[in-house]
Amino acid sequence: MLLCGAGCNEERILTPNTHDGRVPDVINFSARVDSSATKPTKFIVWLNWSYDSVRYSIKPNLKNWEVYRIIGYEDTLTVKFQLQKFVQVPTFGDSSVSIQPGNRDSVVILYRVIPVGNVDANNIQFTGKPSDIVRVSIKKK
Amino acid sequence: MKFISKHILFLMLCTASAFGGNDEDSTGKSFSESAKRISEERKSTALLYSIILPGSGQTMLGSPYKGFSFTLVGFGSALTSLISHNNFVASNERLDALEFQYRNSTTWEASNQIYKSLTETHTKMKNYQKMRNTFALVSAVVWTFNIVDVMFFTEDEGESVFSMLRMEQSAVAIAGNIDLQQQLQLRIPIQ
Repeated sequence: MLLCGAGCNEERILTPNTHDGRVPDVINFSARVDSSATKPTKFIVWLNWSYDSVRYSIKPNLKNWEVYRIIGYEDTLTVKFQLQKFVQVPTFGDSSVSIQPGNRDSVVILYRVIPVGNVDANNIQFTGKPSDIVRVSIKKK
Repeated sequence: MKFISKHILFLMLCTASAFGGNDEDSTGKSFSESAKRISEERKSTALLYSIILPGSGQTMLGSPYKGFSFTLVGFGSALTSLISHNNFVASNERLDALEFQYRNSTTWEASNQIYKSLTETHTKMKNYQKMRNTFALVSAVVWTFNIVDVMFFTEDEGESVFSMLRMEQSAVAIAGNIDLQQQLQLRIPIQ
């Protein structure tokens, strides 16, 4: 009976992977600290990234990017990333970074970007693969 | 009377001649045919037993170790096959649930986690399927070989019908000595 059952079973095929590349991945993610601001305690952190425009040349499933950060902590397991902004272009200038006088001499900021796709026919807006985490250390001028 | 009640001699003679005789006697031919017929009947019964339960025929024919081995291997492989089949069905259902979750997932991280589970479950399911098929095949082979064995390779070493027993023609005396004051004492020589 079992042999009969074994013979009748069709080989089940694994569902193909559809989540990788559903939304273009973030590549070349980098950060640059601009300390030329007027106040010595104010800084601007410029974030730049891109996506594989060759692979996703025809109408990529990409609506915007979400920029997240953690400020003052490096343990990403206990502290969650805070959403900073939705951006339509692959660049972002974080001007809200400052080191207050009398406080510590430096501050560490972690950044991460997540691409967000368009709403599809099933009314699902897929959030893509998070970028690598970029660590920025800012020292007092 | 007192003497009799105090010392009773109890003598019992058992002779086999009352139950049967040699093959060379006048009833030898019919005995041989009868024994053959009984042996065939026993073989048929053993075959039927072995078809129903592997090894039971061999046990019946007087090969308990062989019979037990067949039963153990046959049952063991069938049980393993059944458990593997059960796990296979459970994995299949789990795959259905995971596929549904995967289709409706909205983030890459969740999808990636679900897909890992999906891959693992699929691998497990294939292993269970393979195990089920292997042990089902082993069960079938053991069952078939068990039938062939009981038909051709297992000698009937078991009991005969009581009336066909060839008993030694020797007398056995059982003497008893009953002391009413004490207890019944029996001495039974066993040869």
